[in-house]
Amino acid sequence: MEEKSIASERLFELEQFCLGPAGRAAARADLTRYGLPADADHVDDICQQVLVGIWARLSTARDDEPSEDHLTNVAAYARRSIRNAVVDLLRGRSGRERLALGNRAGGAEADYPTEDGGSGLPDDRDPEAWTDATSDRRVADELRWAIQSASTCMPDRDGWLVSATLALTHLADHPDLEPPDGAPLPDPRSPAAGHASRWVALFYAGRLDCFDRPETGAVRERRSRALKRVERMFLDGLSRSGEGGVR
Amino acid sequence: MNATLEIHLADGLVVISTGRPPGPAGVSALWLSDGAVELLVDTAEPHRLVSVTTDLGDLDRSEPSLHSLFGPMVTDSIAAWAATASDGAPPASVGTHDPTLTVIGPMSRLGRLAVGLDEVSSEDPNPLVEALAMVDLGCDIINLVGDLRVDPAGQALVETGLDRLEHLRDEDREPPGGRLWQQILRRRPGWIETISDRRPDLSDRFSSLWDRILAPYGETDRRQTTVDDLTMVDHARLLMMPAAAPMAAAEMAAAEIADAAEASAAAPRTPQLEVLFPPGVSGRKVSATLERHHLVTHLGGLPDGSWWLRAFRVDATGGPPRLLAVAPLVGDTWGHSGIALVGPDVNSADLLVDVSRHPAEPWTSTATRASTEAVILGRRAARTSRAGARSTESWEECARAWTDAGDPQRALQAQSFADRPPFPIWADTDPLLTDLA
Repeated sequence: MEEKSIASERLFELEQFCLGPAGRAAARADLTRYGLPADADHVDDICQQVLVGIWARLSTARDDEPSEDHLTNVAAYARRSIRNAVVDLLRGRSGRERLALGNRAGGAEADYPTEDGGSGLPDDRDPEAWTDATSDRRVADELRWAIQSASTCMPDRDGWLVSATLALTHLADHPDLEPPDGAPLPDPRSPAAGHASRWVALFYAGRLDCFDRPETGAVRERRSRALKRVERMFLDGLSRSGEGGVR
Repeated sequence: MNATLEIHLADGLVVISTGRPPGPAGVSALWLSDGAVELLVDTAEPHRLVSVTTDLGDLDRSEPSLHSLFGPMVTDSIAAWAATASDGAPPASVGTHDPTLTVIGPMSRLGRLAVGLDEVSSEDPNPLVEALAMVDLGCDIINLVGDLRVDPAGQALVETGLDRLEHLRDEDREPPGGRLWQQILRRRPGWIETISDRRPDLSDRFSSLWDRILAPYGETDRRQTTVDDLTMVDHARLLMMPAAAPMAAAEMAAAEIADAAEASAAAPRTPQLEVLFPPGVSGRKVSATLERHHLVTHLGGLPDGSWWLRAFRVDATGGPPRLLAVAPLVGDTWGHSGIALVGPDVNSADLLVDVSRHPAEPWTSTATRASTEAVILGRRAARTSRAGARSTESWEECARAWTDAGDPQRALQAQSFADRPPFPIWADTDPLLTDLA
């Protein structure tokens, strides 16, 4: 409980710095130092980019690395990040990428679905119950912000996950939205009948491989894995969405 | 070199700056002292140091590379100044000091490394060239004089290059062009010597990879030497081959659809939304409309690859734009299209729409995109200049981009490069392999 309030305090401190006069002055000074335009748009972009990046790190690092430097002196960390973001702009890059060593051919996603199956996960003929309702628009907005900030730490290959989880926030907020033409829906007699919105969310995210025909066990397992990841991201976002929030 | 030493106590940084802003191609970065020191050089003129930055609390770790760069007297002076400033100055102050710095380190080699490593980590390198460039730059790092401790370490870079070489997919094994192949052959003895001296455990692996992957190119090269002059003709023929036809048809179809979309955009019921493309990527909107709770887009001209359509909502309170939806863009014969569920609570005036390879990157404004675009065009022009190819048009394009980005100074500099392109002294004798790809 105490850890949660410290985290909230730091998120608030981060927000105050990045969106307040101190962060904006720092961004303006660094842009000027490197001879870049220091207009409001450049300043906003730098500050907001830093805010989103550190927000993501703070919210994901909170549980397992509570003593990290950026947690204890968040304004100084943000100040440094602003300078780095300006240098990145001059490098024609959007993130502080450095040459990544390691074999690019490897690194397959650990829980990305495979045709082979064999993971031991149940398929979605026996779905677990979880609640994806968000009760009101404010909660849905906060939830989307939590998803947005968490997603900045994700590899690009997980774009579908961000896509599906965001789609689900709209579907959960507006259960009356009609599914698009061609969207797959579970058999009304199946145990997955109540999960139509999640299937539709996967459809919006382009995961058509989760609905391949014929629907073999491998397809069902693939869908089940994908839904499990959506569930995890949705519920993580929901649990974080109450902690402050950027205005 | 006239340099200014700045100590930023607010963010705990020691910045040694030449006071000369980088030119129209921006900066390239090299990390020394195992990552504790950041060295920035001008990408167009990499012998020019822009700044050296280290952490005030990391001066001990940084000392060997500062020593190698600036010599012992200046390094001691920096340490003394830093100690004084951190003791006496109020926490948010910025101090300046002029220790009359002179770079004694191998600035030209370091500049080449900074640009080379940046090129290798760029978004779309040729996989074969990327792997060989890693071996090449890794050997360069190993052979650097002085205690610079470049990050990544040379030995690790060589090993990664060999890993990449080993895992090359068949479709990535396109034969290197003539000048590139000549450079590979010329450097091979140096690579063998460095690897056998510093990583003898990798010697056999290098030889075996050479025999398996690279040597066959030599055979092909010998067979092709007689038709070298036909290369340009072949390229022209390739462009006329039937495989290129669908793309041309797609472009025409997209243009027709664009015209139709433009005509329909005149109708008041579905306002067209602006779609921003990533800096350096050519793409055009055919149509983008908010249709009930969906954002529906049709786009043309995007290169192959994974693209995401993103919708943000402007935050009226001044916070970052909020991500509403991300949807895959699906390519077909005429272009890319995407449908994103944005919900019924948003109207088109509040929507910001862009296309990105990186679904989770934060929103950036048109102004910042213009600056990034100008830097990217400058980097491309610098690459063309280094390769010894005609770069006048590239620099002119870069100059226009800097004008659009509101930076007349860099626009002027780019324009002057159009007349007299920058050409690092090593670009002829020791070019970057990535520049020859």
